[in-house]
Amino acid sequence: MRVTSPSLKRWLFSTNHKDVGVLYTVTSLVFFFVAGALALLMRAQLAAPFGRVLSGEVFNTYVTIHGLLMILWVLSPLAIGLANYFTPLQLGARDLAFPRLNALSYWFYLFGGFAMVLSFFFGGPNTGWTLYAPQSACNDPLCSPPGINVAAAGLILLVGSITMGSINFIVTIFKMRAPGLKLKHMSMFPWAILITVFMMLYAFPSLLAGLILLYSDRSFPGRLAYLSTAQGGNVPSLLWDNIFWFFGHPEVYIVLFPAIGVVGEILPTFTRRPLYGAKYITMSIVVAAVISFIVWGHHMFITGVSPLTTTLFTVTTIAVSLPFDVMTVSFMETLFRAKIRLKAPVLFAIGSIALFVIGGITGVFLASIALDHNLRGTYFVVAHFHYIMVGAGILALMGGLYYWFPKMTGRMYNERLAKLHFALSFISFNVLYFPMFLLIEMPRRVFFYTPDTGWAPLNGLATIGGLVFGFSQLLLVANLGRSLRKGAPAGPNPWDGWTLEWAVPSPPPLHDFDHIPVITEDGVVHLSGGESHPVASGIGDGHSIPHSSHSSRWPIVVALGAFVFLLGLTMGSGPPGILQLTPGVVIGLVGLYGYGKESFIVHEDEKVESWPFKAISRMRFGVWTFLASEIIFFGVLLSAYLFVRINSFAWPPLGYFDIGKGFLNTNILLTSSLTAVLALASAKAGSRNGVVASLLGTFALGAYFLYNKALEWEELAIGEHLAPIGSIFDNFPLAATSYYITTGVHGVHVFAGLAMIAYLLPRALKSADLRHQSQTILYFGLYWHFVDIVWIFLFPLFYLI
Amino acid sequence: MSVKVYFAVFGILVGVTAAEVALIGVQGISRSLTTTTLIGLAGFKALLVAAFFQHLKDEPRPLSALLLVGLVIAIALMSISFLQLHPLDL
Amino acid sequence: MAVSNTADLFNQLFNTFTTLAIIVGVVVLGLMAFLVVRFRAKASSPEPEDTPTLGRIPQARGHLKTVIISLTLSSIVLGVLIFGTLSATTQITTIPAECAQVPSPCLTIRVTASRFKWTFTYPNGYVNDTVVTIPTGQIVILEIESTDVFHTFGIEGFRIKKDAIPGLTNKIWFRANEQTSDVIRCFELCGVGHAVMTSRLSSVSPGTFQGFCSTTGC
Repeated sequence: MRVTSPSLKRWLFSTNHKDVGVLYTVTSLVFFFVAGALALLMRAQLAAPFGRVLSGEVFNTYVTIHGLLMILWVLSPLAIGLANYFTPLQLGARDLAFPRLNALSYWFYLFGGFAMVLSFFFGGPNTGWTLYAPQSACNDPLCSPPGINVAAAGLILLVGSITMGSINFIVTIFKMRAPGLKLKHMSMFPWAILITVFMMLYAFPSLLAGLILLYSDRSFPGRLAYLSTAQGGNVPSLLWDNIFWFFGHPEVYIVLFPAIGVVGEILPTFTRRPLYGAKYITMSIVVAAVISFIVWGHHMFITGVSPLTTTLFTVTTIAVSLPFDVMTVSFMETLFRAKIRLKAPVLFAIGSIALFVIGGITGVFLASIALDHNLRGTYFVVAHFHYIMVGAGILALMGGLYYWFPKMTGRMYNERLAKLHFALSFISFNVLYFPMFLLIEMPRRVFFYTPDTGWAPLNGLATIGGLVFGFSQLLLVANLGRSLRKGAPAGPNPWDGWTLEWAVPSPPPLHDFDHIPVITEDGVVHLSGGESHPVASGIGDGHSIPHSSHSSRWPIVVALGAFVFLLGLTMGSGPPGILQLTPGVVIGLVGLYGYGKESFIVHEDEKVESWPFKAISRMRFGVWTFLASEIIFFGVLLSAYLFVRINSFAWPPLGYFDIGKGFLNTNILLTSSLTAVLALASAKAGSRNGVVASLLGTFALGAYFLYNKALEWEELAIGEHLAPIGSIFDNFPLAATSYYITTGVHGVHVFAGLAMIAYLLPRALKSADLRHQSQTILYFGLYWHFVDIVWIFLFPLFYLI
Repeated sequence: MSVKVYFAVFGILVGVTAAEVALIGVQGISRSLTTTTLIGLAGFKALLVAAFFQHLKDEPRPLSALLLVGLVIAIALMSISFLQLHPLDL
Repeated sequence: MAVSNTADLFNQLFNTFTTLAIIVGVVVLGLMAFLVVRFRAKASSPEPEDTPTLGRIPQARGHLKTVIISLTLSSIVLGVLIFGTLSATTQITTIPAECAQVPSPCLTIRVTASRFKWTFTYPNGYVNDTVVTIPTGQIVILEIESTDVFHTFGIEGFRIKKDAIPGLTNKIWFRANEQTSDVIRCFELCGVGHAVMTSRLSSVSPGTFQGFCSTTGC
C-alpha cells in the first residue's frame, strides 16, 4: 500500500506527522462546528425572556458539552494539529520522535470525542464543564445523570492522548533539532509548543486523578465518598475545586500559548521585521507558565477558605499580567517601523492581540478578591474567558490555518473571502461578547430569564452577534475547501518567510527534507548542507539507511481497545462486570501485542542538536517524561487523602491498618525492585538464566503483593477482626475511600507491571540478543521502580501515622 | 553499576523500613515529629531507589530537574489544600 | 451612598479598575491601530534591512530597557489594584468587632441553600423561604450553608456573594443604607432549577422591623 495514496486505509494507518496533523486539524474543526451549533442553540434560547427553544435539562447539558468540546476537543487539538505538521519541519526533522505514539494520540482523541457525544444519549453531564461536586457525583434524580460516566471515559481517553502527545513533543524538540539549530534559534511556535506540552504534562494528570475519584464515587455509591457527600468533615466541593482547578487553570493557558506562538510566527513574515524582543517574549511565556500553576485558587475566592490562601492567589493572579504585558508590548513594537502586508493571516494575528488585550484587562478585574465577591458566577466571567479563548485563541489559530494552508496543500486560499471572514468574525465577535461585560447581574448557566430583569436587549444583541459569528465561520470552510481544488498553485515560499518549513516543496514530500539543513555559528542556514534522504540522493540498495516507516495498523486498534474498555466501564450503571470489560481488553491486548512485535523503523540522525539531553536516548527520555506525569497523578491522589485526613473528625486508630501486613508488603516490593534491577544486570551481562530467574522472581513478588492486598481489602470490608469491629465502610467511610482508591490505583499499576513482565519473559526466553532485550528490561525497570517508590510513601502514610 | 551496589542499597532500604516501624513504637516523640521523620525516611528511600535502581544519578542533571518540578508542583497542591482550612495549624 | 456598604465598597473599587482599564485599553488599542495604519506596506517602501529571510537566523531585535519600562509601568498600575483589592477585601470579609459583644448588636440570620430555594432562619427560630426581611442601619450577618450541592448565594443590589457549600458554614456581613427590595439569586449551576432559585431581600426601617419581629418572633 502506497503511503501517500488518498485512500481510507492511508488515513487510518498513517503515522506520518503531516497526516496526523491534518487529521487533528480537520477533526478539531468538525468539533468546532458541533460545539458551535450547541452554542447557537443556547444563544437562541437566551435571545428573549422565557425562551422556549431548549428545556432547562437540555440547556444544562449543552452548556456542559459545549465547554468540554471547545476547550479540550477544539482549541488544543487545532494547535496540536498545526504543531504536528510544522514542528518537525521547523526543527529540520523528518517526523516526531515516536510516530506510532503520535497516531495513537490522535485515535485516543477521536474516540474520546465519540464518547463525549455518546454521553449525551445517556443523559449527558449537566454540571457545566467544571463538573463541580457534589452535584457531579451524587446519585439522586436531581444530580448529574449517568451519562457523566461516559463523558468521564471520553475525558480519560483525552488525557491519555494529551499525555502521549506531550511526551512525544518534549522528546522531539529536545532530541531532534537539525545540526546547529540551538534552542535559541527556534522560532516562536516551537517554543510555545514546548512550553505548552510541559504544562500539559504537569497539569492533565490532576484531571485524570479527579476523574478517577468521580468515577469511583459514582460507581460505588454506598462505599466510596470523596466527592458525593459532605460527611465527617469532608468538604467535597473544596476537594474537587482544588483538584479540578489545579488542572483547569494551567489548562486555559495551555489553550492560549500555542495561539501566542502562532502570532509570533505570523508577525515577522508579514511585518518584514524580526520579532521585537523575541527572547523576552519566550521568557515571558515561561514565567507565565510557571505562575499559572500557582493561581488556581482564584476560582475559590468566595468558598470560605482562609484569607492567607486567597491573598496569596489574588497577588499571584494579578501579577501574572506582567509577563503578558511584556508579550503584548513586544508584539506591538514589532509593528513599529515595519512594512505590514495586510493579508488575512496578519489580520487575524493582530485582531487576536487586540482582543487579548481586552480579555486580559478584564481578567485582572476577576483576579481581585473584592471584585470577585460580586462578579463570581456572572456573565462578566463568561465575557472575559471568551475574549481570551475565542478572541485571542481561535482567531490566532485561524490566522495560522490561512498562513500554513498554502504549505499544506500547495494552493493559495482566496484572499478576499478570507478578509471578509476576518471582518465579519472580528466585528460580530464583539457584538456577541462585549454586551456580556455589561450583564454583571446575570448568573451564568441560567436557561432563561424574566422580562423584569432588563437583560433582554443585551442578550438579544449578543444573539445577533452570535449568529453572524457562527455563520461567518462557514466562510473559512468554504474558502479552504474550494481552494483545495481550485486555488492558485502556491510555491514553496509564497509569503517569503524565514522558517524552515518554507524551504521544502508545498506540500512537502513524505520525507520532508531532501537534505537536513545545517546551521552554522554565523547564523547561516545551509539548506543543502546536511544528511540527505536516500530517496532524494538516489542511494540504491546496499548500505543505504533503511527507509523510515510511515504507517502502522496498530495504533487505531489499541485506541479502539481502550475506547471499548472504557465504554464497558462506564456505560452500565454500577460497577462493571467482567463481560463488559472483556471485549476492550481483548482488542487492546491484540493491538498492544501487534504494536510491540511490529518492526517499525524510525531512522535516527546521528548529528542532531540535543542539549541538554544529549546523553539519554529518546526512548529512555520518553519513559522518564511519562514518569514525571505519574508523579503529579499520584501526588494529586495523595493530596485527596491528605485533604480528607486533615479535615475529618474520625480516622482509624494506629494499628487499624495491619502494620505487619504493610511491612511485609513493603519488603516484598523492595525485593521485587532488587530482582528487577538484577534482571537488567543479567541482560547486560548476557545471562539468560539470570534474566529469566529475576523476571520470574519479580513477577512472583508482585503477584504476592497483590494477593496480600486483596486479602487486606477483604478483611477491611468485612471487619470481623478490626478494632472497632465492623466494616471500614461503616465505621470510617472517608478512610475507606482514600485507602481503597489510593491502594487500588497503585494495585492497578502493579498489575500492569505484571503484564509487562508477561510480555518480556517469552521474549527473553526466545531472543538471541539479550543485550538488545536489556533496553526493554531497563524501561520496564524504570516503571517498576517508580511503582515501588509510590508504595514507599503509601506505607507510612496509611499504616504508620 | 555493580551488583554489589544493588544489594547494598537493598540492605539499606530494608533496614530503614524496619526503622520506620520501630519508630512508631517509641514513646515520647510528638506526632508531628514522628510524621515528619517518617516522610523524610520515605523520601530518603525513594531517592536511593531513583538514584541507584533507576540509575538517575547517571542521567543528565536536567532530567532530575524535570522530575523535581513535578514533585514541587504536587507539594504546592498539598500545602495549599492544607492551608486553606487550617492556616494556623502549622 | 449606595443601597448597602458592600455596594459602596464594590462600586468604588470597580470604578477604579474600570477607569484604569479604559485608559490602558484606549491607549494600547489606539496605539495598535495607529501602528497598523502608519506602517502598512506601500508599494514604494523598501524592505527593511533586517527582514528575516530563508537561509538566515533573524537578527536579534529589541532592548531590555523596553521590558524594564513596561514592567515598571505595569507594576505601578497593578500595585494600585492590589492595594485597593486587599483593603476592600479586608473590609468585606472581616465581621465587625462589635458583633462579638454580648448581647450582639448585629443580627445573625442563617441562610440554607437547597435545591432549589433559599431558606432563612432567624435567631428565635422563625423560618421563611420567600423573603428575608432586615432592618436598615444595622449590621446583618448571614450564615450560609447548603443541605445538598454547591450553590452560590448572591444579593444583586448589595453586590455581595458567597458560596453555599455542603460541609461548611460561610459568613457575609453588610449594612443596608436604605429601604429597598432586592433580588437574591443562585450563582453556581446546581441542577435543572438553578435559574429559578431566586428569593427576595427586603430592607425596612427599624420601626417596621420591630413590628415584623413582634408578629413573627424573629
